Amino acid sequence: MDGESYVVKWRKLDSDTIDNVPFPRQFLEALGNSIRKLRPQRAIIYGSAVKQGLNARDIDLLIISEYFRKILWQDRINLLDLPPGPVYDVRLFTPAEFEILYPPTSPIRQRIESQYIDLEVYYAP
Amino acid sequence: MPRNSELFSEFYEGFKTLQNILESQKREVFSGLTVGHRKTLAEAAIFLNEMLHQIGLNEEELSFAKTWIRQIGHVLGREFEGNSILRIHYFEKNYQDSPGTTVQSMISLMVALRALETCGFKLMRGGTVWNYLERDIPCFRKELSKILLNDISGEKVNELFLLLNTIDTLACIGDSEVLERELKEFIRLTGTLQSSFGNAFGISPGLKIYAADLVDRMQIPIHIGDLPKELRGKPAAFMALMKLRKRELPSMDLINRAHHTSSLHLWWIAKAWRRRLTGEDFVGILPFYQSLNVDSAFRIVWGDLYSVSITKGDIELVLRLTSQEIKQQLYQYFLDHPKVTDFGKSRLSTERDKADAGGEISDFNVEFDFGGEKIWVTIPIKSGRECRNQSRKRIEQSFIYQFIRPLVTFETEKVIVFPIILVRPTLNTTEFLSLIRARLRLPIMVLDIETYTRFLKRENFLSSG
Repeated sequence: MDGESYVVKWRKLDSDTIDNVPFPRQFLEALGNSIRKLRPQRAIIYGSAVKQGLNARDIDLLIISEYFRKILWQDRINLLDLPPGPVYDVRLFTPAEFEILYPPTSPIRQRIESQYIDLEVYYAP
Repeated sequence: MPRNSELFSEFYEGFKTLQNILESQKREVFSGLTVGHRKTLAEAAIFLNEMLHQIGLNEEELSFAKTWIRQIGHVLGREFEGNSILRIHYFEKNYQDSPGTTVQSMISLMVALRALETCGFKLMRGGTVWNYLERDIPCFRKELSKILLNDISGEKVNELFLLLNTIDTLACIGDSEVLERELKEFIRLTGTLQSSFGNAFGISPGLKIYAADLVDRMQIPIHIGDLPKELRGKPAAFMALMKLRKRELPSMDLINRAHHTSSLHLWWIAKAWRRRLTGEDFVGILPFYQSLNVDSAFRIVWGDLYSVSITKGDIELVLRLTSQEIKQQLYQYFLDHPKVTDFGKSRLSTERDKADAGGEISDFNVEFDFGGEKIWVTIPIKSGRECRNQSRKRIEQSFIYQFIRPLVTFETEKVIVFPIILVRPTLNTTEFLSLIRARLRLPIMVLDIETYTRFLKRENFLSSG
């Protein structure tokens, strides 16, 4: 399969859920700025922070981008300069890697898709 | 000391399986690792890393060795962030469904985790995967204890292997009160299983070797008895490595008996480790690289050169070229080359004007588009003036690593190296060039004096030389 056309099929949430986020807009904009250069196909916050915002123990962040294709897994984290303060648990994958490692039937994928904050509006150019 | 070519051949034999696994994992769409592949990668990383820490390698060989460990870290770490950690959570259920497969899968997970933790790719403390590990290990221990203590059907060799692997892995993790407590409980469990171990040792010499290693390193409470003598394959490899990590010299006979298809990676590491301990300078390691069809790449980059006829006079002209003149010729040629990418063309003048590479990546680097695939073509240049009066040995020592270096520098990209070596053909240099061509199975193809002369003649560069 051609890597450029590999698109993660994502279960979309209702817009009501997405609008009602417990993070300051300023924080989400800073987050968007720090990940924009990666040209993500998707970037989301998932896990407990979706409800608890900055009060969560950590912020689970998933970024899916073709940008990672030529970067080894252990070096990808160095590309990010995330807003200081929270503890982040970051997963950085290419679309193909995400589909292979997190197939739609996997429990973690289902947990991610059940509740997330889409960051597209903050990183889109 | 064996000649370079012999060392390289031995290395290829040892790491061929590893190379194949890593290459398949580099594809855009890859398959999940099999249990066997995961074990092979993890074992190689663990022992290669340990070898590097215990014996010094020269700068070049050290950087080559690290390319393997980094690629393995990439594959194992990437997989670990997926669902694999949940195997610990589902151990009880999976074991009921399929005990053999579940235990082997868990062993491979423990070895992979150990490789990540010891090779510098630790799990993020407090992250999701880490939290799952801390959450699920206590239940896993209780289930494994139940199986080993209550289920009396069979010798449970694989379950005992899993127990030892879990202990070995937890011992190298640290940073967790939960896991330290669990480690003590697992070790305590071994003390209640002496008769199970005794029975299993009779069946599996490998288990006995591993238990002896852990008794030695961690004082786990098992009585081992005499170690088996006539080991073959993987147990022989582990025995040799166990001796080496204790700074004892295993016999060559033991290492030779470790030569088996299932353990070639361990056989090579043990052999290389021993070689350094006995005072040899090189082990013959080469970097991880992606295989490419060098012949077809050559035709795309340089076209057909064999139909061009040349004279001795032409060769004399080429021998007088400086590296700067050669770079100017390459610049002119690649400027109109239909397969050089726009990015490659935008950098051509920089490549032409940069100082002679010396310790840098290469003298001339160009990005090509081979049917939609971006490939770096790197061209180290050794002009006739530079090669003059140098012996084969000197050329080999000073040049060979320079040709290989781009493979390390462009570690995540496809790269092919076309060294231009403009040296008068002699027996010595011919031998050196054939080493690079035939014995070094890297994506490298030399343009020797005759080939480069043909190229210049075809392009009408020779008269203006």
